[in-house]
Amino acid sequence: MHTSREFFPFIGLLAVISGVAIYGYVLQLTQGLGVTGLNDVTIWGIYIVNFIFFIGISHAGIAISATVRLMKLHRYHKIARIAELLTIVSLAMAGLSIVIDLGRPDRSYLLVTQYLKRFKFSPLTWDITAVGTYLTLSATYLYLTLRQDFKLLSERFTGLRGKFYGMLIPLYEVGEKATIDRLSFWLSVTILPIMVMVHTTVAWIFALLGSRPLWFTAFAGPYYIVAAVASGLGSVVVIAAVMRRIYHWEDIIEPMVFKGLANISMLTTLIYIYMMMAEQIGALYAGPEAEFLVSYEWIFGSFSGLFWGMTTLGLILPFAFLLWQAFKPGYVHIEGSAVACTILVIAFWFKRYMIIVPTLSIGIQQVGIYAPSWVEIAIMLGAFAIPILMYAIITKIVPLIELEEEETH
Amino acid sequence: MSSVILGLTQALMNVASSESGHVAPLPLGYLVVGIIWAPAVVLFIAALVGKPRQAKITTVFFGFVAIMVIVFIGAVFGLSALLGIFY
Amino acid sequence: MTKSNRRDFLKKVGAVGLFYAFNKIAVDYKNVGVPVLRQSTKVQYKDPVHGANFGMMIDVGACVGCRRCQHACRLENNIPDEPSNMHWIDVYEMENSTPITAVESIPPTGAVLDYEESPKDDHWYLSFNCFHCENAPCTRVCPTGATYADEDGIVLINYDLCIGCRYCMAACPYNARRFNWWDPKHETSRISPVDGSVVVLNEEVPLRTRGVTEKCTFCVHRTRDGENPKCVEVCPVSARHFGDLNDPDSEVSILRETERTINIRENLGTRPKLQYFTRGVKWNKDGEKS
Repeated sequence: MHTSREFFPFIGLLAVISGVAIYGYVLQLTQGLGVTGLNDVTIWGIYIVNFIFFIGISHAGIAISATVRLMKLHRYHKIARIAELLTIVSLAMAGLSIVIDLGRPDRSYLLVTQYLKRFKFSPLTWDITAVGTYLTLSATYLYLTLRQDFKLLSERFTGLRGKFYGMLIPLYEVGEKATIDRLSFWLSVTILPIMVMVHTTVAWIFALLGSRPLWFTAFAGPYYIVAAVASGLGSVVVIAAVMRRIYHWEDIIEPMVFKGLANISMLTTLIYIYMMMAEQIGALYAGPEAEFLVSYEWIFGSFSGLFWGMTTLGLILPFAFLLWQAFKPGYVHIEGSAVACTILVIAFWFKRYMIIVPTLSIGIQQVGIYAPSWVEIAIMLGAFAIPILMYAIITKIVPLIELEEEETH
Repeated sequence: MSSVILGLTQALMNVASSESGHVAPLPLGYLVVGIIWAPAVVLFIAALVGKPRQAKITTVFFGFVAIMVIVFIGAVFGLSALLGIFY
Repeated sequence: MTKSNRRDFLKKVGAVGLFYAFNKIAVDYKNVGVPVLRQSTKVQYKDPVHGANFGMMIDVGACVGCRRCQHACRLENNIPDEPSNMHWIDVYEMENSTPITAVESIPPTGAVLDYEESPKDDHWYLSFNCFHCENAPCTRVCPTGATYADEDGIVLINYDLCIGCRYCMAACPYNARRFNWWDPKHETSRISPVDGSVVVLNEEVPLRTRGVTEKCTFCVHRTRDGENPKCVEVCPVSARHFGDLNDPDSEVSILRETERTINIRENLGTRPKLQYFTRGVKWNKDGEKS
């Protein structure tokens, strides 16, 4: 795999963004969380939105891998690893987003040392359990399926590079593929319910607070999971389309793969719009005072610009395009799908913002005006630049398409 | 197991009582963490008893899981130590 | 530019940038405000009073909104004036027509937090702090166990275990908790707006750093020695009452039995121990109708 000329300025740009983000974070560490726009009423803002967003994106990887394996949808096999890598990277960024939000991150170790005392009661502890288990098993799945490729790479390269790949496959046994396949099968099967629990516990962080209007709801788990599938698969569409173009994998990743992923993203977006409508009609029609107030502000009041912009331009418009594409059999417009999915993913970020901020700012009728500060925005841009940086560098080392496939083309 | 039942019963009695005094919340975490880990337990059993099975690969599997757990916890402690210089 | 020239140039730019960033960060770090008299970090509260269950009752009819409780609390509990205008007690001004329980949340529509004069005609005042709930949602959700309900019913925070996640603040239905968004800048002594006296830092109350949550502690350093909280002591109209709910002869127990008490947001099941009552008229310190 050669490195193109455009690679280095791109990396340079990402490095600059990351640098500014790190500077902003150091400011926050030395001066306090006051450098953000947060206050005693709106206690959570962009950092928590990022957290939920990244957890949502992380659902793509194993959903695709598991589905491919269990339903034998071999067409999607090629992009499965891209998706798995996305899972690992976005889970790491989710964890980092939470640490960035803490007032005393130097005490993060307490989350581990106090685990046995708090796992009985705290949804945050449940979330750490689920995310930790999910990350561990996803990484295990990725590693087991990579062993074959590392073996091929260790044979293809001589010298230091070959030795490096050789070190990554300890206890390699010829004929291990059958065992690995069986273990991968079981991993796929068991990771799926854990994946559901991951986003359910994340949803519960907000939904188990009885005092918060529009947060305290029974269907919070499915609500967040539907958004996760839509935004996660949308992200895979975008990333796969970009990589297909950059690395010239036009023959390896067939166009209908994008249609299939975009279709599911579109369907889950439709389900999500339906859920949003049900939630808002309920709150406006019969909600207790605070719920009515927050919902009113969403639809007609101070948050209505953001809400309607996100819903119409961000959700309905891409949905319409993807629906039109779905109805044309055998037809897929990859660039169009990638653009539509990019818009969807960004809209879902704003939807998470709509979930977090209005309920806090006005939900207890004590207004805490929240406007993100430059530090928060810089850190958020860094939170996206750093995984892209990680992704770009990892793909130099780890083959994204399983090597046997690439070799036969 | 019996201590779990005992704990749950005591918690239930505490919640249901109308006497003043601090109410102990139900330890629902047992249930939630149990649900989260149940598939993982199934996975580990499948890794140990299924066929085809090779001792080396089983070692690699559990070894990698163990390494990930250690890395995860180590990262938390390392991050705490690193950020400690600011406080 | 040739490739190697460009690379050298970039390296130089990078080095200068790093140098500049490092200096900026180092300078900022050195200039972080160090709180005056930063105590050692072992947070220790006095031993709980066994068998007690402390509670508070506030006479809404008597409160004139003078905010002496708010100021006295700040001085007593080492809450600095800078940089954030934090107070553990808030007082709302409401129109007479607003009933106390008509609200789903605090405060009701039309409530004013930053009124300048009081008492006004046709208005009443609601002061509140942490309710020290018996079924507190905040202690349930804390991921490190930093906040907890002690044996005598006081909900406390161990500032050494708090990681500043603010989950307890999200859980509290009463918006009773405050966060240290900045480093608190403590003055060695301040002039009290209550009576003009000079007040020094209270050594019995631990100082907090940036990044942790704090709230009313029912003046745990006073009440576990048998005194009243400071807010109860300074109220000029005796609106606030404190005591042991398990003691049938305490002020609060008697008030509970004899007056019509009101809980805020009781439907959430928090079982708050800060309760309200009103005799309907305003009383002065000698217990006479004004």
